[in-house]
Amino acid sequence: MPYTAEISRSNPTSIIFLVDQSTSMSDPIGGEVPQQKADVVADAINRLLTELSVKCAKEEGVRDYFHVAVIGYGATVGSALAGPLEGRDLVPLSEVADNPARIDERSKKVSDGAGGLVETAVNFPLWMDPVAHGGTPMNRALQYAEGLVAGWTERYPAGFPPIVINLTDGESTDGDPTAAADAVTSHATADGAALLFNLHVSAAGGTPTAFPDSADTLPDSYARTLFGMSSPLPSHMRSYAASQGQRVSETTRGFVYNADITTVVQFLDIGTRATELR
Amino acid sequence: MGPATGSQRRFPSGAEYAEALQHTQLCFHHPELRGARPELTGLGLPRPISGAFASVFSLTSPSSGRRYAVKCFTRHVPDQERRYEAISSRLALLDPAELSQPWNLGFEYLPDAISVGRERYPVLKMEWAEAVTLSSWLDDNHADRIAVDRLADRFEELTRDLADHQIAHGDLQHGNLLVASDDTLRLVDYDGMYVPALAGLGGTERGHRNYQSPLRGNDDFGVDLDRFSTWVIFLSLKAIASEPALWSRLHEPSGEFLLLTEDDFTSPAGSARLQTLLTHPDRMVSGLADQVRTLACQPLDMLPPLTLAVPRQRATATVITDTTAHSAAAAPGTGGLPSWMTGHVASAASQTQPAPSVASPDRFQFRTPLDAAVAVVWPVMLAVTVLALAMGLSTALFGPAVPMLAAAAFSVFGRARRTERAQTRAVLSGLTAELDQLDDPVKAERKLRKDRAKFDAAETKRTADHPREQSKLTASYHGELQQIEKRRIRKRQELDKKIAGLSAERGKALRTALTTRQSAYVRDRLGRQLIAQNPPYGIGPKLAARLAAAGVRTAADFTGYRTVHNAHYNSVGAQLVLSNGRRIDVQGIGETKAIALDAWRRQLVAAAEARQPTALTAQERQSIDQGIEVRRTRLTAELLSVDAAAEASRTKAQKELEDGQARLTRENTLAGERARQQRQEFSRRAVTLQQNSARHAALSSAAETAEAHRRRLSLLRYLRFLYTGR
Repeated sequence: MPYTAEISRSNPTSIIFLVDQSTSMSDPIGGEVPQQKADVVADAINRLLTELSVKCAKEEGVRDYFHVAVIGYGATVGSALAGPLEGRDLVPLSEVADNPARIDERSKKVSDGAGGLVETAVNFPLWMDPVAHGGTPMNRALQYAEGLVAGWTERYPAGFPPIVINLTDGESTDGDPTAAADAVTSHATADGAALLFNLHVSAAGGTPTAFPDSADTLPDSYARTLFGMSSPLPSHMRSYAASQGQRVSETTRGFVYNADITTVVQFLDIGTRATELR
Repeated sequence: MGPATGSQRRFPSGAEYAEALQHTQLCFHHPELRGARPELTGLGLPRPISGAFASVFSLTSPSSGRRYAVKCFTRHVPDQERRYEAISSRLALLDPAELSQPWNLGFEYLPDAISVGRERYPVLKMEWAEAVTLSSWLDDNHADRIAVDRLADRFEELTRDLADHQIAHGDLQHGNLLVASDDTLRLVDYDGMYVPALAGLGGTERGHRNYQSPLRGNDDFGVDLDRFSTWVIFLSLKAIASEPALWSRLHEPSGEFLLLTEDDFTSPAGSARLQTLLTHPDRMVSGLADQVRTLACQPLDMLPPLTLAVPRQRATATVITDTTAHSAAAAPGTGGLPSWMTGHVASAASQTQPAPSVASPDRFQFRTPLDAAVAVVWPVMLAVTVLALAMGLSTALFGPAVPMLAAAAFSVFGRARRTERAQTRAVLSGLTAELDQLDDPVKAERKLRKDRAKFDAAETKRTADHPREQSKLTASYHGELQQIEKRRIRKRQELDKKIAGLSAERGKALRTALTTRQSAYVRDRLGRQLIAQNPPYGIGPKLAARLAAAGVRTAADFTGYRTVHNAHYNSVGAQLVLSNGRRIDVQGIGETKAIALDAWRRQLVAAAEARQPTALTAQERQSIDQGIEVRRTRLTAELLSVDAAAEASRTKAQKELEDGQARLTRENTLAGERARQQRQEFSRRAVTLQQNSARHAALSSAAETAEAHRRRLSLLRYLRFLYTGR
């Protein structure tokens, strides 16, 4: 069965985030208080990195179950990490956890326990800042990711395959990205082909959707292209998505439309195995 | 997998809990937790310890000053509250005095205890255990054989406590077994615990992969849940106690296991780690390893409890401590001989030969008549010589020495007839012959040492080659899997593309069908327009008849005309183009008539086109859709078959790997057997050599003695013997 290799410190896997930093990312997007798409995406990355660090925290600290790269694409293609990790691509997770660019204080409304809400400040670690400048060279970004994936599968040929997560508003400016996406997922370890997931942040409307199994309900051709590029969810991930109450089938893909993608971190099995839902 | 239900609600993630815990005075109501101080990371954020189902935070209560481990759940667990209640009340029944060690930790399930976002979630408030995980304890203490051995026994006692109370933990592993400062065990993480009250509920987890039977499935949830893992852990601890170096050899510094991993259970034949334990010289270790290998392929409910194996060993231990040296010597590992050696050692002992006795006489005994005669001859001959000298009868005939020489010759003869000399010589030659038969021990030892060194070098190479061969096999297997996966993905992508192209294909088919239908309609309309009945301008009945004779009766019979220039006459004529492309001359049809015919036809065409059908019939449409559906079904089936084919190839590769591994193991076992025989042979040679060398020394010294004896039987001694009898 593919996608069953143990993720451990001696057999880690890599997660490569591709972040769209094109000018179009400065457009506002829905919600009660419209936000720039670039903010939404940077926020998602920072939360994903926090989430990964917490997931891999053990008694003695954060374990290197993963190596992480954050690649931005816009005016240029390259590492989007800021602060001490600036310019680096694949970084062991323990280093990521210990070296955010800074810790911001954000105000947040939380329940006061008496039915009301009270505003408090919470600390929020940041590794990258929102950028919106230049075109959307998605092909080049995918090629960059392909290079990292190829190197990784050669280094850990028996491990869980690398996971590439692309966060974008969908409008590639250097051609149809499908072939470049296929090239990424053509690399494989003995445990399976590399996985490519997409988060589509779009102002085109339609229902926010996480991990759909068909492109029928998607509002535009960008979303459908990204859906087509996304890998089908491996069975244990499907099972996890189902345990969260999502409708899944054999054709469910790693695609999220205008919804929270941080749950994907919960899909990664480390250590004790959950029983699979049937 | 229906829609989201209340019982399957989404839980906060670890990071969301960590954020909420930045304000414990807001997120908790509980008097002891409200405002509790969380332990922080270097970045000043609450420090989590995460598992697959929850993140645990250390919180110190401001009111009581006590430290708690607070477990926040990240996944929905069916019937969680009921489970914890059942577990809690079962553990509350345990009498601390009856337990082997205080392994159980108190906990309290607090529903709706923490608010995250706008909702409240349960937490588990637990005593904080001042203890380290089994794996980090082993990192520090593996060299302390006595401590590890004691821990193994404590572990066995812990499993006995659990079994006695019909409890199963569900996920025994290096992270859930903690070792306190007094080297007793603590058991943490009761999420997957089985207690009798939960029978029939089903499990929530399948345990850590490196500790569980390959056969443990989703439905296994009962009192025998821990059996496989207890054998694995007990084997590991006993093995480390027997040989601490195994911890560094078999355990990887950051590996999530003790000495064995999942692969060692799923394919024991190819497992170098398991082989090491199976062939361990300590028979308790090899025995336990064999047990684990056997258990890995047995259904869970067939597995024996660890306690079944241990009493025997306990009994032995008692024998060692409180009975005589005799029974202690009989116990394994305390100086008694391994059974396979007894035969060899006994026979080696009985083979020792008696030391060679030097039975050769070193003096003459008992004079014979010949000796008496010799003894008489000497005085007689002396007298004769004296007389001869005195009578001057000397000389020319026989010198004065002649009688003496005769006496001497007679003495020599006499001595030669003594048996002592023959005996001595016989003994000596016997010894020399035996010595000649024995190899020179020095040379033989040198040869043995050389043979051994050569063999050891070959063995070192062979044992080093074996894991290399194994990893070569595994690598080629992984390479094969990689290729299979790549092929599968490529095929899928091709098919995906074809499937995605189907709707374009359908559109094209619909358009083509419509065009065909329209042109058929136009052709049909044209075919109904007889030139003779509805003549175009300027075509009379005569011309119409000529046209009909040439095959042009209706507007459908021709498609146009071509002008023909006759260079000779500089005149212009026309040829009609038939619908089959052929051109004909029709008498009377010049350019003008042809243009009229053509205009007539065009007009008819335009009229027909205006009324041609603009859509396909439902039936036509359906037949095209059906065709496309057939293609889609076929492609989808192909898509599925790609996965099936990949699975088949993987199974084949797996089979090849297993065959290869089995072959390697077979070869290795054979080679090991041969090596053992060879080593035994060397030992036999060494024993013989030792015996020979002792024998050689004894023989040499006996030969020396015999030679000394021989020398002592000299002529002078003989003469002395003749007269003194000694």
